[in-house]
Amino acid sequence: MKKIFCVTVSILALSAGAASARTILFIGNSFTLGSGAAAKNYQADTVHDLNPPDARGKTIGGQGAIFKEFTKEAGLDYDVSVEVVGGKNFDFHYTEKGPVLDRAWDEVVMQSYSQLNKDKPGDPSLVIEYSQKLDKMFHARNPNVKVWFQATWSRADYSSPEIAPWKGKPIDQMAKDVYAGFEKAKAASPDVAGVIPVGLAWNRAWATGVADSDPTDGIGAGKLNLWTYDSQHGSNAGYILAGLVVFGQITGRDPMSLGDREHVAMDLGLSPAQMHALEQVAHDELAAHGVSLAMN
Amino acid sequence: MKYLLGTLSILAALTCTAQAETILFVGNSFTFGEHGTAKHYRTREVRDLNPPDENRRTIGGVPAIFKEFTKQANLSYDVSLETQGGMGLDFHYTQKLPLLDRPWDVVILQSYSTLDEDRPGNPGLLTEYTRKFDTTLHARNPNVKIYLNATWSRADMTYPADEPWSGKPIEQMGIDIAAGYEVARKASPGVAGVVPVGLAWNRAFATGFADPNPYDGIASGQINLWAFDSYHASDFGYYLEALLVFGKVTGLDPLSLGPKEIAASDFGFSGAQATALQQIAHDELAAQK
Repeated sequence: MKKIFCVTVSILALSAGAASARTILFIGNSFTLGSGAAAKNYQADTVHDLNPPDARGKTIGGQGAIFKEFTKEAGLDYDVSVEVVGGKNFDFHYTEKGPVLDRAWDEVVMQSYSQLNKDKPGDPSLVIEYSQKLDKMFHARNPNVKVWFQATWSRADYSSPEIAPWKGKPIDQMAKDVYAGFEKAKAASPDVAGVIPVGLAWNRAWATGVADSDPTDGIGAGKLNLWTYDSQHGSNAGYILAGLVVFGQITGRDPMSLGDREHVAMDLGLSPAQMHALEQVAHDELAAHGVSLAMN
Repeated sequence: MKYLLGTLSILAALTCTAQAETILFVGNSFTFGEHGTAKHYRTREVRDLNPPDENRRTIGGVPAIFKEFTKQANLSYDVSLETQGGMGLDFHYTQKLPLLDRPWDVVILQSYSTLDEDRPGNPGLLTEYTRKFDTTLHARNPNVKIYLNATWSRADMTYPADEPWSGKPIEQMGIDIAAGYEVARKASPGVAGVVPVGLAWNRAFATGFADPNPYDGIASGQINLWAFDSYHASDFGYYLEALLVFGKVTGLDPLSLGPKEIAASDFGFSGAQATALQQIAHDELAAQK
């Protein structure tokens, strides 16, 4: 009798879990896939990579897997998919990846080219055009889908012509401009749920002294470098901060509720104090945008 | 015919297994990669002889990096590890011997970071238990090659006050630890050699690749071999450790792994950083010959 009861209960638990899981799709490029950091291959088996494995049979973890781990720890059930290709923008995902993207999702987080437009840095017109198309496609499948833009961070690889317009400007300017570009894209696509202020959270981490804003003169004592070696992509700390902001925005849970001894931070080599500081930064940035955050 | 093919493939599989050299890593957090992403790196590629943790996870660490190197070099190693945080060889010998007392081809022994928790720098306990391991392991396999893993200077025992190496040059603890392992090696004639991991760290400081003092920030263009606690290693530090073990055990040049080495890329290193670390490992091993 006991056995039968157990089996029935566990089958019920499985179906309940599957039914209640919210589906979330991450679209993006190297900034979403975690290039230049161990985050790239982090817990890849916990998310669905909609693209084929690489030559070595590996799939992507990246920001999708960080989000998944955060939600698990918060007792939330998300079914996470990622569709990421390095160096690509919204136009690529729409024209080339439509067949794998065109499904009924509950949440979609879209991340574009890091300077909005490869040929015209800072110009949001391409992002606006293709976010309208993607938004329309997703809403046709699920009228209640929440589509989010992830506005990414300032790059410090000033030798790259890709970021020429920001050379000589304060380090926080590029993130502000990218955020403003996405605000325009949101205005053009009224059904879009919002712009996730990841790059602005990086700005806050510099302003509050949690991270060093200029890697060219070394990294100050006790500070984090949010970039990896190329001063373009994120370090583990940078991707974790991005993940915390995305987590807070999507779930409405306070990033601080994850606690200092959070698993992603420990797995990727951050101290409890460093994680606490990043959670505070994510909390403050979301609060500044009026996002209400619950501790549980 | 089908049966025959089946038998053949079983034979082939067995032959492969028979050819694989077995290697065992015994150590503590400096071997299992505490505070690095190395800790849970490719855990399925190695055998953790201890039970999984409360999250059902096992260790990858330096042994898994070593395994990845050997795969790329087309070498077949069957890698096992037995690690316990904060412990020396005395613990492993007295508490874990049933797991360790087998005929291994290669064994890497790594003891407490100060050689002796109660008497920092004193090689007495290390020497005593190296000899016991030497005797036990050679009784199982007369051809076993035992290496001692001489670890690095701890910044947290050098720069702050009232620590065993306070006020000394950062290289000193690494030099003292290497000297202690040399004492142990000489007292155990069956031991094949000492892996100069800590001396390679010193070389990384000397060449300017790594910052010797993490307490005043990390200088432009330099990397930090330590984790946030200035005690354990970062992924860079564990990678360098694995390169030294790889070079010492296989006899292959760490530089042969190349700038596109897979573990380096998995940890997010640039090709230039991988090459620099391999060069340091190469130079340190060459200097020992």
